[in-house]
Amino acid sequence: MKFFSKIILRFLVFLTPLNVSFAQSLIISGYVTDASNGEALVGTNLWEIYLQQGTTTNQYGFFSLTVPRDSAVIRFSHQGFEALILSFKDPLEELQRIQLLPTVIAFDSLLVIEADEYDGLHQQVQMSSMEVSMEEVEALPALLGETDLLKVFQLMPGIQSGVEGSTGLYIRGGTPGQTLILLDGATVYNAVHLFGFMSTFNTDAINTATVLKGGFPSRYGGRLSGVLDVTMREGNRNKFEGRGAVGLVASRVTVEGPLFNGRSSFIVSARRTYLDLITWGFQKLIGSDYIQGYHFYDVNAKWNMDVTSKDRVFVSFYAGRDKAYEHDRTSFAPGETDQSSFELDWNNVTLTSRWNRVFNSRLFSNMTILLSHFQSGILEELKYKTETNIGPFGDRYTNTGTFGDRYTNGLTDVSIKTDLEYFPHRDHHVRFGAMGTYHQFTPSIQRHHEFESALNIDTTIVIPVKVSTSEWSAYAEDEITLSRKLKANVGVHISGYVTQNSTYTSVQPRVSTSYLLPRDWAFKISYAQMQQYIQLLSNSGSGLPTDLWLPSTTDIPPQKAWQLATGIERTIDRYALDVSLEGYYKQMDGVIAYKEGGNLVGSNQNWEDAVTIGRGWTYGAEFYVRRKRGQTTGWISYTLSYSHRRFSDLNEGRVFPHRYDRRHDISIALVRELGRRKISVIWVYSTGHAVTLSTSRYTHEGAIIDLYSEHNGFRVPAYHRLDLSLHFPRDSAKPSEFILSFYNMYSRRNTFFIETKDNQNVDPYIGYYNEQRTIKKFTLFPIIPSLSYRFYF
Amino acid sequence: MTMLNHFFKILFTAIFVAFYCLALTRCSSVLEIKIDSPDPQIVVNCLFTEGAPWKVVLQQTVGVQQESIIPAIIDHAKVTIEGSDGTFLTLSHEGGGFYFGESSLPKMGVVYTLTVEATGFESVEATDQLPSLTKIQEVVINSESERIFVTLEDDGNAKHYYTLSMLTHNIQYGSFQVLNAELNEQMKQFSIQDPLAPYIDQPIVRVALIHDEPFNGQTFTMNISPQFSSSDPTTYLHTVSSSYYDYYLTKTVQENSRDTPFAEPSSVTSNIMGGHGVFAGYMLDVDGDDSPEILHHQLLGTYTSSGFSILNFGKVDTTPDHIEFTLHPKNRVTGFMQVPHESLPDSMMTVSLDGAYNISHHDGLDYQIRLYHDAQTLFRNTELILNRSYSNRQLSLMMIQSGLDANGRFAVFQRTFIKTSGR
Repeated sequence: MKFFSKIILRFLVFLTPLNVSFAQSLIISGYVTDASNGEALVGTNLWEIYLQQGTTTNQYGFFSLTVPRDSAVIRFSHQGFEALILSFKDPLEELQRIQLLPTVIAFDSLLVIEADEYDGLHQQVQMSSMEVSMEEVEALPALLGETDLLKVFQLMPGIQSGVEGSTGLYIRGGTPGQTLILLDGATVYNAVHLFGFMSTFNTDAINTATVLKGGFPSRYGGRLSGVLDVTMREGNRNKFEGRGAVGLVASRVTVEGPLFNGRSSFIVSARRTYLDLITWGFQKLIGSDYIQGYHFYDVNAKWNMDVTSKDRVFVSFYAGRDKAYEHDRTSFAPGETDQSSFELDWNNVTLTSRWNRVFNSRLFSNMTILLSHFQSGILEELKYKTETNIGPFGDRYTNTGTFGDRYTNGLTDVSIKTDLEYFPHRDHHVRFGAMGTYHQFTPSIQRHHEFESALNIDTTIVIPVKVSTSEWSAYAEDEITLSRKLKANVGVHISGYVTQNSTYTSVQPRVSTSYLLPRDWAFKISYAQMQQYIQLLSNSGSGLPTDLWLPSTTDIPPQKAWQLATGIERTIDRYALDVSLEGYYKQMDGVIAYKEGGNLVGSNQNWEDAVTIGRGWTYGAEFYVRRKRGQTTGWISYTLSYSHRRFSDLNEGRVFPHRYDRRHDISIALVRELGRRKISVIWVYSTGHAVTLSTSRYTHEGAIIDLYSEHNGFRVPAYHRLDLSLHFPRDSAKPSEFILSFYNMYSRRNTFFIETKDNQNVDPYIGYYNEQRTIKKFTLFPIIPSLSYRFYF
Repeated sequence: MTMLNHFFKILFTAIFVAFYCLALTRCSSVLEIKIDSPDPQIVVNCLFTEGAPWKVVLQQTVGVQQESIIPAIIDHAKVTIEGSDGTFLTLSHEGGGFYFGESSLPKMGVVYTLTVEATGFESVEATDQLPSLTKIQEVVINSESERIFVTLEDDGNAKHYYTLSMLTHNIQYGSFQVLNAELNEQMKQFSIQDPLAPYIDQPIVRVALIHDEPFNGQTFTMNISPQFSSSDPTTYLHTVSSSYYDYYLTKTVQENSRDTPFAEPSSVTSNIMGGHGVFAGYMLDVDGDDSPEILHHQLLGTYTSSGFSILNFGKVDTTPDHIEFTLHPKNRVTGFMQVPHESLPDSMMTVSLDGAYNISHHDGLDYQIRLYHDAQTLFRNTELILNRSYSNRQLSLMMIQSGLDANGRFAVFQRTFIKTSGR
């Protein structure tokens, strides 16, 4: 209680006019950038050496630090960069431009010895936060050599994977549909390529990526279980450069450089698979009438410019498209050809336009207009052509026709958002803002097309189902330094949603605190409420394009959750180790699941009838050790977790484990430098996922009828796998390297899905049905070696 | 350097082999999961209609990893039926798990309670009654548009459930589509929807299971597109109780989702307290010549077969033997088969086929006749498909069974029974 009254007291103090009480103070504000390419350095630590107080740069590299003296000595440090100590004296220019130099590899090992006690985990209020650098992602082994950000996050404690090879993030017992994925602030609805086996994030175009599992600050909202916040790189402001990679599945290329004398920069990155080009050529070569293929591409582009010293604008764009197709040509009679086609495609587009303005050294603002679009479609079409010679002169007569159906579903969002950061006092960092979003769901558009040249028929029938909803939110939070030992982030997130005839609103309090214990251990505790208005209806959990995003409706209310998390954290500088131990408890209300057997509802006109609403509980403990610097880097994580659900329509209303309730989950990800070469390994172990199996049966009219005792009552064998990759740098003017990687090194036969089979042995005389049932498991990936080449130009 | 070259050669070969493996195979293996068998429970199957004798078929549930014959018949149960009008009767076992009662026949407006007690099992109880009869008003066949219009008058006082099916002249259930838009959602439940092709039209069914919500209290005409060519089909309209409807609907959903690996398994609803199966009343209205009663009478008699063929990899083996059985009223079957002795190659042994048989005509391809008896023979629980040839007015039963033979090869066994005596 004393603690809370202290917070309230501090809050009241901050509300009183501050300029009067701190007339003596010095405000240092500005941007920190990478000296080598001019890119903003997000999360740089600033530490005032005498006062032992600091701050970090925000998402745009901006900082503001107030010191109650007329001078200050500040140490700027960022992982992978040389630390810089600068002294500041009144009077100061309003905006400082600090540049940090990347560390030269040779000094890397020396840095470990140097105590770097200012940027440890224990200094942050935020808990349950995980971040990875793109260097780490690229150093770790990857399936088919395709580096994947989301799969690296799956190795973090508290984040689990679903089906083998898929990129969905199951955060603290939540589902992928409960994870907010942001790319430069824009929501990415279907962040998958290749039927869920690859994520849409191209590591060459990404600057930072952070996942929050709990202790959500007020500025985030709209999902129950997690936030993945990804920012794109801005492009080199000093010189033109390029990089690329050639892999077995896809190749990518990135070009970036300065514009307008370094006041602006751009980056364009593109990626495409090419397996279909090879197979297409091959199928053409052998004259096959049957052509099948798959490809995806994606493009990331970003442009930014310093309009004035205080104003910056950014435009970032992402577009990606997957397409699988099948064309079959048949000819039943001479002069007659039929071509049947089946196509499956899905695409994502996001566009972010942003304007940063530094109003003064205490106030930073950010105005954003966002567009996000997702659509998936299925096309089935038959084209025919008949050529006949008729009439006395043998006139050539051609008739062509087409009839087909295309079914699409999608979602388009338009949002406007404003975020402000206010640094009123050295002990306060205030963020507030608001956002409005217009969602247009098109859960089903059916388009029928018929064309016949001879009969002059050309008909198109379109049956659209459209639902428009709107969502708004506002937030305010204050990161308060209550004492040298106690910090807190107190805030509130308010949101509302208008759908059909219903309006939903919610007030979500958020609190995180950090208390410094002896020996640099920090004790942290957080509470957050979340509300989610958009639901993901998934057939398989594997991220198939048939997954549907649907609005909350009058009958299907929004999902709600609250989470309490606590833990201790420490950065042990001598060994460059981050150590953390966290526990959490989360309760979710209004979660949706398919009713029994309702999994196959393809037409969603009545999706509300196919789902059932229930409740979920998850709790667990996460242990984590990570080394960020040195010859050997990486982490070891262990998660003990429980995830339960209860639906009145499932399992006779009894509590049952969630499909991905994984009791134990161990991940080891290590990178070792051997001179200029590198070797990296990943080993994962997790409890097998839950399945529902029939326990007994009977027959009726010759058909077996299965009886189930418990929903998700059985477990498939534990999942484990070892991946290895070797990096061989090549000697040349520009750096480049060959990467040889092995997925599933010891070829463990992990369960992808299971199938039950009733054996029928028959003997003509004494034969009878041997009705014993066997359960078969299907394995997706045995050992898979791959080779890729990465280069810079 | 040569070492490195070799290494790369091997590596590239490995990569291509791996790719081919990935593209061409999906690896599967048997998973050892121990599934404990729960305590066996009673399964009841009893559908009753006005004025017809009571017939209850009993079996027990069997653990999935238990090696057993299915259905596992219960032949020692005490089966009683009590009516709300004070009637009470005990059914008698006639063999093969079939229990009959010929007094206190089902009456409209009486609620019946079935009780089954058997040693070794928890007793079960179920309650149901006859639904009010809805008649077929009219069946109009439009041969030009290839449509059949079935009109019924729904009584608005109660919720009604129906099954509609059509029999064509060769005694095969004809499959059809129901085109009424207001029945769209109901009909969809019957077909397995391909998640990648969700816009597929109406499912083709042999039995349409519908409820009257869209047309409660109205005269309703069903617009049917038959998938068979028959100028004069016999139309069956069963008015069924809600227990019957729930059981058949959930059973169909389970059958349809069975082979889909990512589907959530679904359970079958039962109105048997403490057990499984169905105890339900129905009323039937028929438009046309064929009725189940007529057919049942035609079926009674003796059938013989003198050989079977095995079709194995295109090779046909025919072996002579002798099998004879008689279908009696009350689902009783008697008969024997003479087959080569298992261990003495040149001698024959006789196996009794005494037991029960059942005719099912609710779903499935055709009329099916199943024999239930204690001997482990191929005919146990195998469909015998009825062929009625009008030219020589002869009835024959066909048995076709595919499976693995003793050597583990795929084989098709085929046998024809000709009716030799009887009506």
